[in-house]
Amino acid sequence: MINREKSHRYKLKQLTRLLGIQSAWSLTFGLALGASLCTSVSATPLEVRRDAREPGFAQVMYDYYQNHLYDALTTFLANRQLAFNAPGTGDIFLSNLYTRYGLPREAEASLSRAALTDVTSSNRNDPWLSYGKLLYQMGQDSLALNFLRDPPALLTPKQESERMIMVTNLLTRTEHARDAIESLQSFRTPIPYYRKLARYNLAMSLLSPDAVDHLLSQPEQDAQREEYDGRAIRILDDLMQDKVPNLVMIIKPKPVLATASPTGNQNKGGWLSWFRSKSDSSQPLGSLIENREIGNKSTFTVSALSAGDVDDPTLTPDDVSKLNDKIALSLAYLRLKHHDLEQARVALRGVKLDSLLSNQALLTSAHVYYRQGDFVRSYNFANELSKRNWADPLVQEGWLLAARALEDEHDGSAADHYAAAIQVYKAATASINQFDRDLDNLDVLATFPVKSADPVLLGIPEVPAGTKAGLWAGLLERSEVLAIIQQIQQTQLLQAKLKVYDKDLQDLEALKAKVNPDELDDLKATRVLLDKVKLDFQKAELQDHKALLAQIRATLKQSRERLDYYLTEALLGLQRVNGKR
Amino acid sequence: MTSQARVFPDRIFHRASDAFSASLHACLRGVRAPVRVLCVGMLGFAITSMAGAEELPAPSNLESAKSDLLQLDRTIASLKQRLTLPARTLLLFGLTPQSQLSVRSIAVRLDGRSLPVREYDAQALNALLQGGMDTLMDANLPVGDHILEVLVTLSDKAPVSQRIEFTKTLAKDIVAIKFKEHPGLDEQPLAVVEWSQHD
Repeated sequence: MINREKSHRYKLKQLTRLLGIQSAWSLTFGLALGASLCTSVSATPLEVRRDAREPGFAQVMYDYYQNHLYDALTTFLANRQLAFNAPGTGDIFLSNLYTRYGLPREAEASLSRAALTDVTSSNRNDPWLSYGKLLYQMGQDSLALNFLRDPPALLTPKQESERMIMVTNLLTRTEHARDAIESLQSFRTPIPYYRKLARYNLAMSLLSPDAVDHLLSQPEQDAQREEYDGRAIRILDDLMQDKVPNLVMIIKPKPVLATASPTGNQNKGGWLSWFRSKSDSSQPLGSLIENREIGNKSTFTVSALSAGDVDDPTLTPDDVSKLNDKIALSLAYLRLKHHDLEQARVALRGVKLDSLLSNQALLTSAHVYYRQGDFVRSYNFANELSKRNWADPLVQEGWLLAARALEDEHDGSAADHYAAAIQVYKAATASINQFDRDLDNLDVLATFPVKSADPVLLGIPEVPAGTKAGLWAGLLERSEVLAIIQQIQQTQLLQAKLKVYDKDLQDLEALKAKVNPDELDDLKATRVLLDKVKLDFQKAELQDHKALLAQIRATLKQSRERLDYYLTEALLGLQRVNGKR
Repeated sequence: MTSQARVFPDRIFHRASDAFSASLHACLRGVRAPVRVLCVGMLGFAITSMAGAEELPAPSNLESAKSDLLQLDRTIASLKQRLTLPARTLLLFGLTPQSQLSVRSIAVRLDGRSLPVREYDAQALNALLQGGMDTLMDANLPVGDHILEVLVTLSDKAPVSQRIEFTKTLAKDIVAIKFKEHPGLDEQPLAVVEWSQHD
């Protein structure tokens, strides 16, 4: 009773103190607490647990789901007990974080640790694929190929499709186009987009120089080349009309036999029928996907049995549109190669005018009409193109082609067009030269400010606004330039983290007088490590800046050479036109 | 090993266009236009495709430094705990599994001392609903009796407040306030759990 009284007095005291605090929130808190105090409250018994993995993992999850991936990684590593997570889920998760942070060796080690443990496919497969993507993007072709060729069971249709696209791209890239063709021919996925993409890649692989068997005699090679070109054209033609091979029912449930089983049970549709169909599915079949074990609750299972398509909600109409544009443009080039100008023109109509490939489509159309001798139409297309951003080499070529079409049409304005093209090339060259000079003072982080606080989550750098936007847009299309800019941005964020660690360490060093010799040694070792990392980042900063400038300047050099060529052609054209006059 | 380890998940299949540009070049090699001007585009492609052939200074390899940074994080955290947090208590807040509570904020007083109020936006709430636990306090707390006064505000329900008296039994521990969406009979919605903590 006395205790209760004491407790109540304490509560009232707290309430009074609360009400005395100025903030509105405190007032709310006080009132709510006051209200509740009138009704209840007894001491809550404390539940004590030993296994601290639960709160450890919960802290990691809290960071992870808020997209604080660096914090999730460090929290995970700080909770050593998570390393003893028996099912291996922790290792898989850790591998994923390492992959996204950009530490492939550590990611692989974590994946390996989890390899022999019982991890559900939903937990395992995404990190597995992410690691494969990392190797793929780092250009480590043989490592990536070996890794991606040995998939875990129960990949979803999307994961299997992505894996297959990467594997076949790697095969084509490493001069094994024939293997890529073989794999792509039998590949079926229930996602229509990937089915189409796989067919498109099959056509591209058929066009690869390595597709032809080099052991054949030259005439035989030529014949094979012709045959492959023909097949590629047929595939692309079909894709233009959205003709994609249907997904066939790859697992045909066998009818339950009416004969009595040895045990005398009929088992019509009973558990044995499930057992039988499972056994059937494990028989080796032709296609890669058919060899996969079918699991419950997988979208693949449903689709495989019903032969139905599966939607991929992550795909946007833009993705589909881009693929269609690529198909149309590739077919046009192929038709052009075979001097089928009319069909090339038809194919080019499939490229959307506002798409990324529209400049190529316009220029190719102008070329097709030019070769057909229809100079007026050729001029129309080239002229349309020349109204676009002149920093694009295709647009620069459009200026020249427009003038050339007018010249061949004996149009009086050809000289003016040549003169205008010359002005464009001179202006473009001057702009590139100025850009080159300004590079010496380039502040990468001011031009491409970091918009994330997390060194793991960096977006794609945006094209800076202003007069140099066109040039930057062209440069950012090069993956080498983009990768270095992102690395510079990441270094900046890592250095910010390092500053925080430095401050924390200084605070700890201030306690020097109170610490024991062991701890003093630890402090000293930590300081040495911190100084080393600081130096590493400083060196990296300089090296990346140098590498970036070199990449940019190499691109600018190519642009200058191209512009010189166009300029010479335009000057020669102008001379010809003036000579004719 | 190259150092360009950055991941562009949304650009993965831009690399797939390797096949596209390679085949384009293959096609264009076969195209020989009757006039010189038509070859210019091909020249453009050829120049671009040869860009990688030039020997350029490589960017740095950050892998080792990035790994060291993680090591630093762990070492400093460990030193901090050993030197400044001998009676460390990590106070967390989380929801019970399958919870659908729409928590907006939590305000806590520990032994009469207010801790910073934690507000939860949609993303933070999602993190809680996914099983995440938010850190409310990471400080020294002596072994013995303590009083927690908790006020949880919710978007669609009346606020919940509770006073919790508990005894810290371990020198270093983790204490979590768990919000039960459906407390049993004679149960309070907020429960406290303690875990032992190792260095």
